[in-house]
Parts: sequence; C-alpha cells; structure tokens
Amino acid sequence: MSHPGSNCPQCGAKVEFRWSGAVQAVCEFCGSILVRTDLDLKKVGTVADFALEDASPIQINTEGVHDKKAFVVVGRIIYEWDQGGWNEWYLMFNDGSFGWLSDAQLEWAVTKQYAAQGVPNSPDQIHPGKKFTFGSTEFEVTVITRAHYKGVEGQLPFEYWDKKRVTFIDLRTHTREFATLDFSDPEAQLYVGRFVEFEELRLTNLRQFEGWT
Amino acid sequence: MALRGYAHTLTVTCSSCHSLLDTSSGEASILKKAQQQTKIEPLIPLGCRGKFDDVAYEAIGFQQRYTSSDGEHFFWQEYVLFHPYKGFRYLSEYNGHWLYIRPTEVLPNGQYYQTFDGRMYKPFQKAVARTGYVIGEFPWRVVVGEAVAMVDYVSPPYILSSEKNANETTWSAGRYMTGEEIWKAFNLPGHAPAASGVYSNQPNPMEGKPRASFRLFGLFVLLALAVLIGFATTHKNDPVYKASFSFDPAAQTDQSIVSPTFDIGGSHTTAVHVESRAGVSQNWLYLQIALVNKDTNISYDFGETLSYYSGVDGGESWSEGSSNQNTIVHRVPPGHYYIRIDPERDREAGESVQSASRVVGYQVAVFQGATNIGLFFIVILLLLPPPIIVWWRYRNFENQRWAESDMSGGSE
Amino acid sequence: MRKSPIFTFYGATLLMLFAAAEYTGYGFMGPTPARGGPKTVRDNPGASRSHYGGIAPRYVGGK
Repeated sequence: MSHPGSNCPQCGAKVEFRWSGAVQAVCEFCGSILVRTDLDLKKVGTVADFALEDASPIQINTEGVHDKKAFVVVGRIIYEWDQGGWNEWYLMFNDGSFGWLSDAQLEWAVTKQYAAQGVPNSPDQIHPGKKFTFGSTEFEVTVITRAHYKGVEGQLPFEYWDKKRVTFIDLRTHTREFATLDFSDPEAQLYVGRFVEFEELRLTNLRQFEGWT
Repeated sequence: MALRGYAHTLTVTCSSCHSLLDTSSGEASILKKAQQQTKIEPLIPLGCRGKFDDVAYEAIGFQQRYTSSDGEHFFWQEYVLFHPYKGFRYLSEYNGHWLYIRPTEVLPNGQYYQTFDGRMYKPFQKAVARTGYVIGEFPWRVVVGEAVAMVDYVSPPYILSSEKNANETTWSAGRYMTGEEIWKAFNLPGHAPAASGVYSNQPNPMEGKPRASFRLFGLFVLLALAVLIGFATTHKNDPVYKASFSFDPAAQTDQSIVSPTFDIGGSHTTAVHVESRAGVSQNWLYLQIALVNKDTNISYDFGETLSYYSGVDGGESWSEGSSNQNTIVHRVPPGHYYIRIDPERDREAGESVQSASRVVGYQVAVFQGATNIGLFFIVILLLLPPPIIVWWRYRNFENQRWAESDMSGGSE
Repeated sequence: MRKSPIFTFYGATLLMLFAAAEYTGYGFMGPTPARGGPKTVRDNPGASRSHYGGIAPRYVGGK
C-alpha cells in the first residue's frame, strides 16, 4: 500500500519501491539498481510496519446515510494503542442528533450514546467473554484496549482532551449489533449501534487515494 | 556484471549508462544484509494486486506463523490484502492449500459446535500460533514471537477461526481456495505449488455424490420391482394342462402316464411351472416327470417327492414333508408338448405290505409363465457396488481430513 | 442422468437384461433339456418302466 517513491539518480525517471519494506528496486528505464539506505534493517523480518497511518478514507465534510437519515462528518478523534490505532468520526444527522462512525481497520460501525445502566464504573473486573445486556440484546466482551487520544479534528462534543490512557471495551453479539464502553470519564459511557458495510453508508466526498478507484 | 552470491537476478546492467555496483560499496552491503534478513520469499510478491469478489486488493504484508506439537513445528504463511475502502482481507497458505479470510463482525453461536451464517461448524484444531517472520505492513503491529490461542472450526469449504490473547478474542471466517484460483486472481506467472494432503476445510470432491448415487440405486430398485411385479401379474393363471390320477402300488399293470398334447404358446421362450399334488397321509409318493416337446423330441426330466407324516410326540404335535411340489422349467420354447409321469412307491424297511400298498390319488398341472424372484435379488446385488464405491471414496477423503484434526469429532 | 452417466447406463443395462430374462423365462437351476426318448414312446406306453417303483411281486417284463 505504501510505495516509497524516488527518482533514479542515474536517469531521473520515477522509481517506486514495491512495498514499504523493499530495499531495492530496478529502474525501468536505465536498469540501475537502487538501494534504500534509510531503512532500519534490523526490523526487516521481525517487525511489521503499521498500515493505515492516517489512511482513513473518511474526511471532515464527508456525507452519508444511515438508517434513512442523512449525516455529515463534523469531527474526528484519532486513538492509538500499543499495537495500532483507529478513528472515531463524529456525525451530525439531519434531524439534529449526533452519532459516531468508528473506523477500525476499515471495519465500520455507527453508534449512538446511551445511558450506561448495569455497567461497573471500573473496567478491572471485565474480561473477554463476559456478557452484558443492553436493551433486549445480550452482548459479549471481545476486545479490551488501553488507548489514548492521538489527535482531534473538527467539531467534537467536548472541549478538552488529555493524553492519559483510557480503557475501551468492545462488545459484540450474534447479530451485527455492536457496543463500546468508554471509561475515560469517572462514569462509564456506553455507545450502542451496529456494524455497517461501507456501501450501506453511501458516502460521498471521500478522500481519494492515488492508484485506487 | 553479476553480483555474486545474491539469489535475485541482479545481472541487469544499464546498456546506456553502464552503471556498475561495486561489491564492496555501501549499497551492496545493504543489499546483502537485507538478503540475509528476508530469508523467506512470499509466493505472492508484496505490492501485487489480486481480484477477489470483483475487488482488487493489494498484498501489503506477509508473515509466517507456526504451531508446535511434540517438538515438531508446523509453518504456514499469511498475506495481508488491502483496499482503502473495502478494507482488509487475508490469505493463508499451508502445503499448497489456500484460504481467503475476512474478519467477522458477528459472533458465532455455540459452545462446542459453532453456528455461523446458517452453517454448523465442527471444531477441528486447537493450537498456540506464534509469529516467526514478518515483513511489510499489517493493520496492527505484528512482532515476531507474539502468540495467540487459536481454535479452528470447519464446515467445508468454510472455516471459522478464533484467536485469543489476554485482551481480546477475534473471529475470522475463511473459504477454501486452490492454488490455481490464487494464481489466476493475482495473474502470477507459472503455477501454484501443488497441494499435498487434505486440508481442514477442503471441499470433498465427492460431496453430494453418495446421496445422489444411493438415490439412483433406490430408483433402480423400484424399477426392478416394477419389472418383477409387471411380469408376475401378466402370467396366465389357468393351467395349459391339468389332470388327476390314481396310483395303486400293488397293481400288476404299468401305471405310467403319457398326457395328451397341449400347447405352450407365444413367440418366445417362457418358464413353465409344473405343480404336483398328492393325497398322502402318513405316506409318500415319487413322481418321475418329463416334459417333452412333441416336434423336437427334447425332454425336460425331473422328479418330485410328495409326502406327509405327522404325529404327537410327548404332548407336541409335529409334521414333515410336503404334499405338493413345484418345479420350474426354464426357457422352454413354444410348441406342442406332453408330459410323461412315472409314479413310484417302494416299501420302506419294516413297513407292512398293507401300508405300502395304499392307493394314492395325485394331480399334475402345467402353467405357462413363472416369475424368477431370485433374479430380482441378483439384480439388487449387482446394483450395489457403484454407490458403495462412491460412498467409500467420500469416506476415505473425510478420514484423511479428520486424521489431521486433534479433536475427536469427525465421523458423520 | 448427468450426475453419474456410468451408473445410469450400467443400471439401465441391468434392468433391461433383467426384463429380458423374466420375459424369456431365464433361470439357473432346473431341468436341463435332453434329447428325449424315442418318438415311439407314445405308441409304447410303459416301455420305459422303472424297475424300482412298486411293490414286489410286480410286472417288470415286456408286453
């Protein structure tokens, strides 16, 4: 996905290294072998690069539809943790309500905030597999992440953010429903919604990527 | 100029620039070091794009993982496929078998078996999977040495896998693909490495065939039954010859009978059924019978023993013998026939002359057309091998599949 | 038919042979045809007279 590019020092033609960790490339025009000197060779073979460093196709002012209501993307929070990161996009619906579009490894979910009933205020007792009931649906804990804010953008429902680590808990069901528990405030916050397919959202005004249609 | 010692064909030189790489130069040593680190070449070169479900994904990452059992390591390869809108997919390759995988959003249902997307998945294998080698990009940071507890469930051609560590459980769903399909999707040169053995979710080439085969067998049985019943009901019930006689063992005259001529009709050979009855009570009678074709002089000879004995022995009554017998003569050509009957009755050892001299009445009837039920059973027997062979081949494949599993659930 | 042409052909052949066998009265066991007695047997009843059937004394000679 990331193809580091450069110009051939011999003939000036554009040369692309096939993938992020590629050490050499051959110039198609003059045939010189180009070698990258900027790579950390110790990492080769032992550590992967992290894809999606800021590669979400959504941007501020992207528009879409969810459950027959149109929305526009007004804000963004970037979260980061030990092994990766994800984006939460803040949505404003045309009926004045708000919601969140979560973009985690390009898996999409739209959630809204609900009162967190029956949820402990500390994530310490919660482990993967534990079950909770929200509304009439049973959810099961799947992922526990300790993350922090990496960055913010646009309009958000709060005014400040701090960089301390916070626990987020993902819950899933036997249907496509999805929930998240956010333990950043003294009280746990609950967001409930469902997974959606990229096409379902009918997004317009997306970010374009070179080389992809 | 050839860079010696390198696996890649770095023999390209620029014809117009004549650029050379000094083997002692910094660049060459970088190449050499990279060479040492990239000890495993992915079969699908990173940066290549392949089409799956009509979407082109780019291979951006590669890892080799392994599990250990009894000191032996089993390696398999994984690729990360990427599309900026469609997201991530994964390919897994083991011994030439390929899986196309996507993470699931919905949790499967179940304790031992898993129900997912309308299918039931059987547990196949549990293992601890470790990363041995990784290059390229992944949607999360992968480091060599990371371990997860992995459980595979299969419903060929699909597979469900769960991966667990302390903080998360993720599920993914995969579908079996052949090397040829992968090579075609990526438009790769040459041929995919051949698959060896049977993989956990590899579709059975005989899938559905045993059922179809036994259904066809069932159909043939019904048809054979129809043939049998059809012939059985079209045989004439009336005899072509029937007569009654009386045999006096003590008489001085010859008591053999030659019947009048009767017709066995039709345009083809038929089975002829000869029925003999005798009024024997504590007595027996032997009839030597011949069915003779008047014109060709061909005769069919056979004998019938007609007897009936009974008594009461210590409170229990018994009987033995049969006072009527049937013989079927096969493939009798149509024509004019008569029968010749020679009755016999010897005196038994210890029997009184009076007992042995009783007059016995007997009756012989000839019918045209008899059903051979034995042939029906032979047909059924001969129809059995094909579906049994098909079933055996199906079973054989499944046995090979489940031989690799470490869970007991295998046989249907 | 498309599922297994070989079995279909085999089964159909077996059935046809079976029907033909029933039609022509085919069978395995039973009296075998033999060149029978002289044509004159009708004119000569009692000519083939078994020596074993009967109570002694009994007529066993010729006419």
